Amino acid sequence: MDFFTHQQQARRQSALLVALFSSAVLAIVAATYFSLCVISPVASPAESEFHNRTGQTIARDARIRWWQPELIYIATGISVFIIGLGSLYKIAQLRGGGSVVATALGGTLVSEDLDPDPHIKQLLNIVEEMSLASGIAVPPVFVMRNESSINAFAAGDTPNNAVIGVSQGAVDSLSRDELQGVIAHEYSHILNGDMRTNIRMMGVLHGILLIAIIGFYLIRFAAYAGSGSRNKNNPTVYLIMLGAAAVVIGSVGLFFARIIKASLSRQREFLADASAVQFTRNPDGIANALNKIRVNAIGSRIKNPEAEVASHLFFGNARGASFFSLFSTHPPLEERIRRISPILAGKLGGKSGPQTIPTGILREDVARVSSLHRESGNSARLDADKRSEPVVASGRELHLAPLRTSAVERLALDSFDSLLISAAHHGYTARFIVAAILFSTDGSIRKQQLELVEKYLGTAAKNETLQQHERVSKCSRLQRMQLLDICHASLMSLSISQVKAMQRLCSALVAADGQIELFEFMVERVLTYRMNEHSDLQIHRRGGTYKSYRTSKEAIGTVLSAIAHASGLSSEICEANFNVAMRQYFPNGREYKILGRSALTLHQVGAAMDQLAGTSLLIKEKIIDSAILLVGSDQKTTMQEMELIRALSATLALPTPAVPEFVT
Amino acid sequence: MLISLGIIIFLGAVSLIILFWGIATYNKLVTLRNRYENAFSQINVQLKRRHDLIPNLVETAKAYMSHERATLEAVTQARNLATQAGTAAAGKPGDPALMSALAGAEGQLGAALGRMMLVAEAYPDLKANQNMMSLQEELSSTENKVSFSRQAFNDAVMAYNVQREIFPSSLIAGGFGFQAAELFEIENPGEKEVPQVKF
Repeated sequence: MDFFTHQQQARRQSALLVALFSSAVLAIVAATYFSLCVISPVASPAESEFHNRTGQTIARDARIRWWQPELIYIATGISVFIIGLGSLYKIAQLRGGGSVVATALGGTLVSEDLDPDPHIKQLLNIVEEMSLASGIAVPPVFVMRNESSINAFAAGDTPNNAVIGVSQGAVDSLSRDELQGVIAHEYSHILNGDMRTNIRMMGVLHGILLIAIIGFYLIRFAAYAGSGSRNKNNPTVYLIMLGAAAVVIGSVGLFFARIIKASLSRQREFLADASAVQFTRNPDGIANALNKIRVNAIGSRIKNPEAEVASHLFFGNARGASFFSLFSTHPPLEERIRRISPILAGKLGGKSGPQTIPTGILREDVARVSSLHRESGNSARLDADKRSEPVVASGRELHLAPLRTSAVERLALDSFDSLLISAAHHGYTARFIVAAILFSTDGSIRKQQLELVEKYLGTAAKNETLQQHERVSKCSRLQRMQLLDICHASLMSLSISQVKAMQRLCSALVAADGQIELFEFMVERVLTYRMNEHSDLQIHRRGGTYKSYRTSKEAIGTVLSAIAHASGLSSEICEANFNVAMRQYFPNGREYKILGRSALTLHQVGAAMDQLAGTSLLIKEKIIDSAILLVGSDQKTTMQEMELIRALSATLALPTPAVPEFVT
Repeated sequence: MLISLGIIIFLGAVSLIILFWGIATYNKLVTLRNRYENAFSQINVQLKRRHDLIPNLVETAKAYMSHERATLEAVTQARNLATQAGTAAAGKPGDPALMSALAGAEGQLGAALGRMMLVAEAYPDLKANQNMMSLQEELSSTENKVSFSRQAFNDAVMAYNVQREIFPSSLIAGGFGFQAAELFEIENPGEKEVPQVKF
């Protein structure tokens, strides 16, 4: 039950989705064509008159001509144009990142500063713990103040511009554990790559809906325009018929599109529930939250009208329980509770019988997960000879094992200086922490860096940065990495000129000592790529340009060679692992040759990563898969491996994957 | 028949594109307006914190500089005016009259504080007071935060004003009554005086 399997599943479902939706579009084109065939003779009185002269029978035959090739072009043109326009409009709107969706749904950004409410503070803490547990940057949190029901959503198209939205009702009425379950559910949507599919789905639905909307306006317009003249041959009749046809086609199209959307969404919900349990290790939290929705009078219903299009982003049904389960984007609550916690379901009574439990996804998942845990626990005792061979066999499963519990992460959060954490929560002070993270251990270089801070952030920043540096210098390298994640939400709240100043400062700080070290390389890359997702910085991602491995062969080889060498093992073992990883994930893996340790520079690796950022999602995910296999081949992760993986996943805009047990 | 259908389709397509552009532009303007309004609430938090500190500061100073009643009262008065202006501006951030009133009141408050600090130079006991020192430290840190969030607010206002004024979207902005927003610039006469008296 790892996120790669889920992402692959999400990809397969996306492919299915594309196929289903294309057939829906084809059906719409066909329907448009036939309705045009039916309507066209009516609109051309000249033509019908001509037939009337030649004879009644011919005229009747000619009234509907089923083969009019020129109409095929028109029908295809109209339908594809409307659906395309509607979809592109919506997708472009949603590409602005999760904050656009969250604002449209009536959410307001919350921070400790503006909301002294302890419930909000708790919510922000939970989000932070989950982020540390799942290795993604802390997302901004939105609260839907006007919604008293219990619901939540995740939106955004990459983990870096994702946001979490929670209804006021959920904040008020859920306990800490329950809220944690709900948030974990949303995180798994982010991690499992559901958000991208969700956004496309919203786009296409909007396109199909547009046909019906246009038809509706066409009828109204025609009725309005036609009311003046009473001429029998006037084109308003034609317009009304066209409009009626569009309404019918659009509605029928929407009907089927909603069924497709709902059925896919329901599957993803089960998986997200299962992953949430895996994250929190606490099935009762999420099960009780679901139960609270069940007994709540308004359940999870969202009042905001925008929720209709976004219904599949939510934790529970945003549109009341549908009378028609076919349209429901979420499985029935009882069913979800039963799969998560059969005991609770048993207490609730009702139709859920224990005999059906074994089919639940969750049971198998949890069993698998715990067996893997045992495996990884024993891994240290693996013999050396066993180790060299079963790399492939166990490698694939390796990254399934390290499931960090949130309890552990809460401890991790506690190990930080509390002043440092609260400083990381404000945009003002988070800048100084980031600068302090990049400070050199060398006193004279640090002096130079302090001047740079003064130059870019002002005089007051100098002292503040020194203060933060005192605290940061007590942190380990791993903690500094985590600090970057914690600062993310605050950094995303900076304004455009502040972000630009920050980016310039970071490059200047890194360049201050005239050389670049792996840690600096990682920090600069993570910051640059994350901040490029700022909604005001309109930097166009070049994702999906290169679909073939061949064009990026060199780049893949360079990046993975660097990761192979980062294991610190002898070069023979590195090469063997490299070859294994390549053969498993790339069809022509044998063509890739490992680069020598001495031939690699960080500059090269950086350029290679940049090139890979322009490849398609499929290639990106394979690269991450093989990187993880390489890191996991020796059952330990070195700091260098961890830093390279972080830099790579930030560049590719993918969530940082969980890696095997960390060894310093 | 085909030609007339073609024309209808063409006109339909063009009007659809225009309609979509209109909706998108309108939404963008609304988003930008929300953004600067939110940015203002960030400033307001810091301004309030600053206003809350001032009575304590005056109270502490009173014990040492009882002869300077007029200076202290000026600070209290300026603080009350600034609080009022802040509450008014929070109701409608970006409104030119309210923003310049707030900027003026904050400027006055800064000047009054500056004068008070100048006078306080003559009271070494007050300067050495632990409470006074920590209050002063907190005050200056809050001022830094104000200028930080002021920058964010001004960025947001700028983005909104540009979107409102550039050509095609100005049609939508004009048609739907999107009004120009005002930057928040505090002119502090006191700040400029400070270096002169250092000797």
